[in-house]
Amino acid sequence: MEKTEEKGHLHPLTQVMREIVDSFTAMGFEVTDGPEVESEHYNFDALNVPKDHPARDMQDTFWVKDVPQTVLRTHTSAVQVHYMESNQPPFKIIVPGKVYRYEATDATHETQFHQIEGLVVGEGVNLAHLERILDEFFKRLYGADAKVRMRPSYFPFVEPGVEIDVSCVKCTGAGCNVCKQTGWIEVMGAGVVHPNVLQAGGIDPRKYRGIAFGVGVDRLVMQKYGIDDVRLLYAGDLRLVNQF
Amino acid sequence: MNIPISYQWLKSHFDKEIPSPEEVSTLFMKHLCEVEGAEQKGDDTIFDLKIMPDRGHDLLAHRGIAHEVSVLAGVPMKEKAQKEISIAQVTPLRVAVENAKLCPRYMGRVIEGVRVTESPAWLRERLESVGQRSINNIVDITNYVMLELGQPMHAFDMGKLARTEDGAISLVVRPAEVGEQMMTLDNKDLSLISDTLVIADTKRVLAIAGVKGGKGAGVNEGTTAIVFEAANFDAVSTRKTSARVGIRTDSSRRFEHDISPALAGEAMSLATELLIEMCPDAKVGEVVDVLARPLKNYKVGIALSELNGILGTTLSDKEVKDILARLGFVYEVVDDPRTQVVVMAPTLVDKPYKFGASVLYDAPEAFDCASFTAYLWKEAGVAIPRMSVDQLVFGDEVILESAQPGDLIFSNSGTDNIYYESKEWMKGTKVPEGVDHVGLYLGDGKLIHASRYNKNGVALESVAESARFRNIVGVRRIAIPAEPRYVVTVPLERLDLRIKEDLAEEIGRVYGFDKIISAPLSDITFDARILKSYHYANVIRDTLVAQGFSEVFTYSFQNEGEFAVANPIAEDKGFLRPSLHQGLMKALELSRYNAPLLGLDEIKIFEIGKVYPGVMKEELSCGVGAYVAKSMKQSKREERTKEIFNEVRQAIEDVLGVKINDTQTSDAIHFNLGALLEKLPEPKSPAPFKAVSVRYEKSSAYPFMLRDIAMWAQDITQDEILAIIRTEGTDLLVRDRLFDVFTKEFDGVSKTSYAFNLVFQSPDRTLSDVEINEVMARITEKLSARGLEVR
Repeated sequence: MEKTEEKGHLHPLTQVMREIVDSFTAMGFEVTDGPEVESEHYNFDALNVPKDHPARDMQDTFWVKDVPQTVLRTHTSAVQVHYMESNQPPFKIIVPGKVYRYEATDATHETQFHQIEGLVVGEGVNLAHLERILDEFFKRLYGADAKVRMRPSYFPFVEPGVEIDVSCVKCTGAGCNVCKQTGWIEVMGAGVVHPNVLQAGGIDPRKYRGIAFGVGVDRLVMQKYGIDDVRLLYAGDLRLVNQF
Repeated sequence: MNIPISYQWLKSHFDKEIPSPEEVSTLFMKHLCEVEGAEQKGDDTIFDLKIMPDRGHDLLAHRGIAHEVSVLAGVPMKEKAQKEISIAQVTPLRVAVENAKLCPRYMGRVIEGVRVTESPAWLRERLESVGQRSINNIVDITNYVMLELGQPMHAFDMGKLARTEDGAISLVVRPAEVGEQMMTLDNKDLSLISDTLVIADTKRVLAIAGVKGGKGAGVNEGTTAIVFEAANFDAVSTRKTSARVGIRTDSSRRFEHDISPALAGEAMSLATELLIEMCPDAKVGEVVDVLARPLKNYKVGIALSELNGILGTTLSDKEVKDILARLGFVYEVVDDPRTQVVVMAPTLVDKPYKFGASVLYDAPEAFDCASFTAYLWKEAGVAIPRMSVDQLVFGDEVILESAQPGDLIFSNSGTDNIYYESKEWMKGTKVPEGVDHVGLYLGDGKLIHASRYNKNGVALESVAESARFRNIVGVRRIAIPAEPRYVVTVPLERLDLRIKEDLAEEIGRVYGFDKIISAPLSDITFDARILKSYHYANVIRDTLVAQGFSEVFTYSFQNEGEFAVANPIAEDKGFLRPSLHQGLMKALELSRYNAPLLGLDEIKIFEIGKVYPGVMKEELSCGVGAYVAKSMKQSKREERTKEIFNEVRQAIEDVLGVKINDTQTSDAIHFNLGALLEKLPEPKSPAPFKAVSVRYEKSSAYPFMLRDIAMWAQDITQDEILAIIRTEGTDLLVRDRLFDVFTKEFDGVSKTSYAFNLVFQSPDRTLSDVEINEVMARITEKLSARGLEVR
């Protein structure tokens, strides 16, 4: 009986997630996780996302049946307040996980995808530290030439809120079709944790400050390997997986 | 919300030169928001700006954006001269607002003697540049004002409104009555409920507040008199109504973002000016202004060390002042907040007491105990909580004997609502002594406080003699950096600036986040633990991969299960998966079909993910599936499948050191990894991982074709044979596999038989039999020419 001695293959989502998480554990971060079925409190209210507010439009939500105020988490940020409630600062955590959004599916949108969240809380933590941490991370992921930049953005759970761009992996900033000639690719949302969120986690915002960041893994995987349709990642198709 | 902004329209706000569209785009990206597009339209550039919810109050408007250009490029905006409007005798207008919370402001104005015509060219161009249709001069004015100031407006045909007995127009802003009807301007017939706020006259509903006007009072060519409306409607109510009636407009979307009632006044003035320009003979009536609460500015303070602390910058006092000046913010520098509080307090003696007084609206005319202390500190640029119990938890504990001027003294006087835990600040913090009163210590044994039991509200007395302070439960000091504070008077339209972090972001973004120099975080003493689920999931993954299994990710949503979704994306996706089974089966089927293309005799897959075997039940599951693709007797296949599962179970048990309890079906085994984790020890070191470098190639969407070829060979290597096959096969040959090889003696000559599976596929078309037969013929020819006997 012929036995295939061939090894199997890890899914590119796992590979990229492990690479990202490993970069952060090498920087002293602790891996943590939370439930995919979440209360509205942890997914929205504790994160300073008010009810009936346009900010909720930024994340269309799946609700579960017959259990009030319960959703499928729309972001891994939901884990932030859980962790804060049971851990004293200082700490650095990294949270890989599956999230859900009520969105029409197409080549770049799926109802389920993966994110990785980071949260650092300590005394005197600030935006400059955020930039250094992300700079170090992207250099580990993409190489020594990788650069990051911050520009203004908004998320209800951070203030200041920023968008993080990384220098284009393909052209290293010269300009190409991947980065639409800008030399930069938008990769992450980030910012200084809003004092309301720290309070919701039982942390005094006058003593401690936090920085947080979140990245969509599926998009990174697609960019890294030139996979043009996110649905291919969930098709259970070995024609994709076995290339890795 | 994305909005189109015209560069030429922005330019009209300036006398001096402003930067080019490209430069403006760059400034916005760096300091304001994302520019998602910039389209050339003639000599204009139309930006597609992504305005985030926190700036929806002021930036869904050309003037707001022009102000940003002014701040960021340093070009002053044109001075807007206030035009005198002469008021004439017109039909009287009365406005009643039934619910001030839902309608904080309603401004109405009658204008008679108007002529409804086509708008002047400049107005039509402005509207069309941002994709707005020109309707007529009146309607266009209301739309222009909305796009210019961010304040939606409406116009009613006065001739179609009901009159009171004395010939006046009487408008009321009220909830609809159940079953009331309205036909919208675009012919949608609506039946209303009492949650819907409407504008009505004495006879009928005229408009759904903030959302859509009714056809009945719409302005058209015959209109000779109008009522202009500039109003403010509650954001949440408008949002809910808009969703309920299924109408979303530029107007409703702006109200949803919450706008300042101050804008209504500006809008009404601008609209009136424009109308007079177009209809110089029009008779303009007084503005009827129902404003629930006076327009008051918030004050937010921040110290330099706090600002630099948040941003990680080293901005100087001068740099901060320069930025505040660029922003056009009115501010004062409070050198010593504590002293200011202590000096200001006695000036408020005898101000009346009002329970639940608002710090913004009632101060400094009326106070309750905690609004008094909150107000004093707010004026000095320090935000403290609103309630006495929260102020107690907020402050730093001091003993009474060490009290300093500016400290807060708390008591439980037993007469008011006594609080035993904090309500808003560090919510739930216990205060066992209970607190119901607070006052400000002034030094020399004196304090000042607002109480209903004082003769005149705010009173200054000695601590020892004050009846309300017989039972002091604590003294607290407000801890602030010992430095001056910049106390900014927040412009009325900036609803996003409320706490010092908002100011830090505002100053930071104008300074430029790109200017922040990254800095290392000094080592945080933190022992990162290893997460069991993450660790062991990876250990299992690596074990399975070593056993030849490949990982899949499948969908959580299915057509059946135990735990349902309230709003599924599709009918067949109404449940969360109770197990990994269905997903694995689908994946197996897909790869069964593709087995030749994949070059696999056995399909071996796995998934690790969350499953939902019941309502509110969430488990981490590991599922392993296998299918023996190689052609063989069914009984042999079943035997081999069993063997595969036994091997994999053994491999996992060996690596983990515990038995796994799995459930098995014919094609898969599953086990609850989450439950298993409890039996496993805490991991000591993480599972190592090495990323692979891969060149991914997209699979063809077109079907593949299979052919076999067998031959006798001598004096030729397998590699040489493959070389011939691959050359003749061209790119269409995507896989070749040797499936049989043996050697036989023929009359003393040793010959080897080779048999290959060949898989053909094109990336851009379906291949035909004819085409592949030709390729096979070429291969056969070339092999024969080399002395091989193709069978």
